[in-house]
Amino acid sequence: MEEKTLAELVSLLSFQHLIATAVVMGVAGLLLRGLHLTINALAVRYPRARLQLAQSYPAIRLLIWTTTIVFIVLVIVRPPDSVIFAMLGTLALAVGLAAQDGIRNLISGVVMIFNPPFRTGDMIEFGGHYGEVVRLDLSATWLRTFNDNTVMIPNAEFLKGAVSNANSGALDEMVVVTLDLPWPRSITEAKAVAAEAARASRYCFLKKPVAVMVAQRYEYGRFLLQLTIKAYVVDVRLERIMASDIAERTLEALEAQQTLADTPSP
Amino acid sequence: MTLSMRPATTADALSLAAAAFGSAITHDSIDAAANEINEMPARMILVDNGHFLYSRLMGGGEGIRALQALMVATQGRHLWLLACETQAWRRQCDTSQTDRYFDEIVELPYFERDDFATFLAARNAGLTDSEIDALLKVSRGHPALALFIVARKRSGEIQGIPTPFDESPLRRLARTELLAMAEMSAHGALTATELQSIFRRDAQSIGILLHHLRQSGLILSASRTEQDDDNRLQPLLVPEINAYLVRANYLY
Repeated sequence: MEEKTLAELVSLLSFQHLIATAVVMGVAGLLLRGLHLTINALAVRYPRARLQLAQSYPAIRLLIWTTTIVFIVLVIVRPPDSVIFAMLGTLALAVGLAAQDGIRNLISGVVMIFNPPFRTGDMIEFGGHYGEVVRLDLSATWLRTFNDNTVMIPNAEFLKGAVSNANSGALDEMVVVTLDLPWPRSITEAKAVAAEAARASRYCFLKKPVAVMVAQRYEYGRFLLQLTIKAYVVDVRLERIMASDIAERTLEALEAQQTLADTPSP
Repeated sequence: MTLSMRPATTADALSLAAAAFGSAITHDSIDAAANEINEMPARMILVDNGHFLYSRLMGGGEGIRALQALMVATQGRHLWLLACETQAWRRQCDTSQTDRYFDEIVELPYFERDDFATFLAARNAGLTDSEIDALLKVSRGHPALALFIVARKRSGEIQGIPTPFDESPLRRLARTELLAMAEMSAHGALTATELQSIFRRDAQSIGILLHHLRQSGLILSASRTEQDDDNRLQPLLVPEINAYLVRANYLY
């Protein structure tokens, strides 16, 4: 029985089948490449829809490859039932044996497509890495950090730990800037300057509110006034630039008011 | 009252109020000036160029807040009408919730098809229905742009109604240039000094940026003060440039 199935399987691997399979996979690959280029071009032309466009690609890719494999098996190869059952058995065995990293990552990738903790374009923090999700594959996710490093994280890891998502599919996100100022000083004045600095930043998304929180800290043997400025950036990619811009404006304005004139160095 | 610059200080706001109500206002505080204005006979004050009531400059909000406070404090007796460009109005509503202080807000969009055809007929544009449709598509109903195109067609500079606006010069601009145009749209007009403050750049950088935008035909400069020129979006291209900036997430 096994020999018969093996013989049937070998007979299916004809030259025509291999050529047809290669052609279909090549067409699928080209289709995906074209789709990827189109999505990139559309994202450049319509930046406001950049995240939605990027998010659609992983699901479309999964659909195209699944359709391609089903087409190859059922239309090109057309194996008899015995071969199909044998292949399914082998596949089940492989899955059973390798309920290990590769398969686990793959299954996690499928789970993440249907129940995503984040999408392409989101700013996430995981395992000490913070950056934009630039690629979401079945087995791994790629982040680009603000230092322009690309970090690859196996998908199975995401289902084990907590993921912090800063924008959840939106283009804007909250930026938090913390500044320590010497104490004593006018709290009202410092808060007003910080809020104005945030609103004056050209990257600030003015449709959302700006908030300034105040706390007191004791460090370097003296009390400090800690300002926490919370404002929304118009595009997640400008997060660090805006944080720096707000800090620069706030400190400059406070310096201009001569409130930092007698600041001792720590 | 036609605003020609942003009121920077409370004194600037009081000067504007004095100009609007006659030179009788002598007090130097908003409360005192409001009391004085409220004793005057009721009148209607039209504030034109309302885009000057928005400022993203650090420390540039005092005069604007003072004038707005004066308007609110006297609106029980006087009727204030504020005329403002759409983008500048939206920004004022986002930052100061200005819309809360007005009972009626009337938006005047560009022409729809029927009004557009009537407008062109009144100006003897002599266009066919299909040409009107094409012109509406190109101009988005902007009357000045439509007349400009009609004038070019009449003078033989162009043979027919041109194809829609070519966005390629906008796509070639750097992020800072697009941000500068977005701020010009939201502020109505900005001087080089104001742009320096908003972008924290030196005069040379801003000069180069403005020169490039002017050379691209996207902005115009006109004299506001002896020292500084106003820079604003090319009026004929405002609908197209704003649409692009919104799509590219520089305006909202």
